[in-house]
Amino acid sequence: MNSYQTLWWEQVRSDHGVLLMLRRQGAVVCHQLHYLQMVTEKLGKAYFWRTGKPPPKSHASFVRFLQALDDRQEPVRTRIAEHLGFARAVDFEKWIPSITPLAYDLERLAPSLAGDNGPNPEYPWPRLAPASTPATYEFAVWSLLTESGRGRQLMKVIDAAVAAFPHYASSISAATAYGQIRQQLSVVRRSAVVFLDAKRRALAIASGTPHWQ
Amino acid sequence: MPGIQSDRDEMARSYADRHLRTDAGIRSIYYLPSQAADREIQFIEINELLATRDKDPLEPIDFDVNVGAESSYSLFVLDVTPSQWEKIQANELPLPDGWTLDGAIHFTGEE
Repeated sequence: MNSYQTLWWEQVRSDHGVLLMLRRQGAVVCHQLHYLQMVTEKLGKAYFWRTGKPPPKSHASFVRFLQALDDRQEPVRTRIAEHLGFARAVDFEKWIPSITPLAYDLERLAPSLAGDNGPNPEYPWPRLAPASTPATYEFAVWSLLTESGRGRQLMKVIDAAVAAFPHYASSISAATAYGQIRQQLSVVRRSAVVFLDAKRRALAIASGTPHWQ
Repeated sequence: MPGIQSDRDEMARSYADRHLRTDAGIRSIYYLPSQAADREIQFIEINELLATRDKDPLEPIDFDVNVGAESSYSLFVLDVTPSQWEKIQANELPLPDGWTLDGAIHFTGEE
């Protein structure tokens, strides 16, 4: 992870911690949705910081985040799928379209995307003449998240994606990391050979034996 | 470099297939090879499930799919709504710098 990702991930973990607390205490739905939306948005942004450049400002990044994970090369893709609780990469890929509409609904909860007249978990709406408020509103997306198997699975995958983030967020591919480790081992090996040779020469000199023997 | 070009086209096709398969909102994808760097894949993805955000400039996402590998390509995806796409075609909405529709290849997932 680069330093930008570390900062974003710290924020994601903190938001996620609050979400878990709200969930355990059975808090009013709007607050749980608010934190869930923030976690998914920031998780996507934390991931896309892996280039070292700022990702687009738009909120629509959670579905993109899942797709970007799915676009990674093997064997990284399989490892990511396993971190997220799937047995195989193909199962992860098949799962994505099943939750895409739900993930978009979740993203649209952000007040800037919900617009002046749409339900959102933070402010009463419509903006100019409020008729509903988040605290008492029955969010359809919440029913889908909690009363359907795919919704509950999405929540579990989000939890896993937060916990496992450092394992898949890095920009270095497995092949590159392997190459770097091999290079470092080679340097260590060369240093060890030089050290042992110097030690052999020193012992030879100390014992009066010519050091080339 | 024809070898790189055909390899890139193949990778682009593979990414497009996967995106069309995994995102129910994507209506079609335009692959823009003519002005892209050798190891860069540029996509415009027209997505019906995106919320409309007319005030934001169009910014592609760098998917950073395979950094560090010898055969790596950078994948840049520009998400647009159907109405933004209409404006792009009518030259009312500019594409990001270095992006052009000249020579664009259309993927729909139906072929």
